Amino acid sequence: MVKEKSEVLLSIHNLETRFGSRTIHHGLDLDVYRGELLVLFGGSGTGKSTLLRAIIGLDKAAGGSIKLEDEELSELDDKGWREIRRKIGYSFQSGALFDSLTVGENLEYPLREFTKQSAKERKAAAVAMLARVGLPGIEGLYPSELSGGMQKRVGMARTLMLDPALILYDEPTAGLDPANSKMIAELMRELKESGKTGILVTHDVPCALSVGDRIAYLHAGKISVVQKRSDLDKSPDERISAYMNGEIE
Amino acid sequence: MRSPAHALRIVLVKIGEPLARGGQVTYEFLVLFGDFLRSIPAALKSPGVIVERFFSLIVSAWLLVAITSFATGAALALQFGQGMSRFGGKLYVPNIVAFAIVRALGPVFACLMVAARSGGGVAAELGSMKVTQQIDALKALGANPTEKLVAPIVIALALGMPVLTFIADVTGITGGLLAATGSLGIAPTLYLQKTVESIHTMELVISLAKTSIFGASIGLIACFIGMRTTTGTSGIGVATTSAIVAANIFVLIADLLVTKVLWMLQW
Repeated sequence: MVKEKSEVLLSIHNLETRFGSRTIHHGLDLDVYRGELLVLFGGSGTGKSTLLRAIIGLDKAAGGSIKLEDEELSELDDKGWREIRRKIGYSFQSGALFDSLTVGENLEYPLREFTKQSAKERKAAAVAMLARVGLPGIEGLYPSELSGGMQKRVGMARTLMLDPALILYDEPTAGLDPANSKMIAELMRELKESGKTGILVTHDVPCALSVGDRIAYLHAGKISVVQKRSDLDKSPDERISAYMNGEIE
Repeated sequence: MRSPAHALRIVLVKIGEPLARGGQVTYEFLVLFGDFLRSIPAALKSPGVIVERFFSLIVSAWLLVAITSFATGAALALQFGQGMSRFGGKLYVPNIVAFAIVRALGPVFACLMVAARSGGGVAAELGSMKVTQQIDALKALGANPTEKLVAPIVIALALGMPVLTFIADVTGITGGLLAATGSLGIAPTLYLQKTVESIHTMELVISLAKTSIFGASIGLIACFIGMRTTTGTSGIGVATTSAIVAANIFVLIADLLVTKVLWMLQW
């Protein structure tokens, strides 16, 4: 459980993002504490995934500040971004595995980019990571040979290869059957318990409630409310409970 | 009734919007070009990837280029042979075929075939990677997509196009030779002798060198369009078609400009 005065790992202040001429976020503020899993709720098109993309620099912010461990991300050059991306893992909604590479090669890819490990060491690390996400022995398969749930878990495994400080989960359980959703939720909980910080964008309310420490609600370009998971049962914010009850799209 | 100022504003917007869009696309293309130039040293550190691309983009296209050029050379010989027989100029057919194939048709047809086959393939591949977020994943994993994807493709095409053009030249002349000896009664040795007389080394070098630049440009255009794919699987089809059309138009116009410049320099 995250304490009130925990260390801030990621601090977003007065963020502004745009998609063409359309403003997605304006004046968005959010702090994410080290070791917590923050759930980001919000209606479709409110910019939840765009926020994750801005954090990792896939989309450039039009204004404001994003700081990771007190390092200002908006001022980074290409080299700076490369180093920061070692600290931030992005788990894509579709898995986004490289389809021309085997599962093992996909997992080895970040190690090839960032480390000087030998081929043998990389392979051993990939095999160990696959075992950790409950998919041992599939390193020789291609992504097209995997189910959607397996692809997402492999994508998550690839994200973990560099042991990032912050993990961004973009709808990891979307489109999965209950068993696979449960496995993904279990993996996120395990990562949180091992001290990893995460931001989870999801529409899967049971999953969010089972793994999240705090729930943030994104509305009209801003975080309109952040509430601790433990407080939700006692006195839920009306906007969050309306969203969870399906009264807000 | 609308005022003239209002009408003028509408006209300016109608003209200005496409111009601004065109300017933006040109700027983005130049940014990609700059990124590519910066990525060359890093890309050359992974020659295996370039060799892999060389095989998929160049080696696999040689038969298509050879067939096209062979048929073109044969058709040229027959057409000119028939026409020039009327004026007793049949013996000039080898010279005309060699001149046309080496200076113009060999390079252009080789580039057009590669633009259609390999350029389309590259745009579809990168477009597919874009819509399935694989390019985003590359960036998120700290890799530079221009270095990992664009540079090997462009370098492979720049290195491979002269090879394909040489194949096009040889097969085009062979097509002309077979048609001329079979249908026009020109002796093979005489045909070859006249062909060799017609081809100057510098012409051949220029012809091969320009296709290296055309090849690189085809690669850059295809990568640029592929990486701009936005609207799902239907967008991949649009990107593929756009890449083929744009690369073909580029090759034809660039070849015209190069020809004109060389003509002005009296090459």
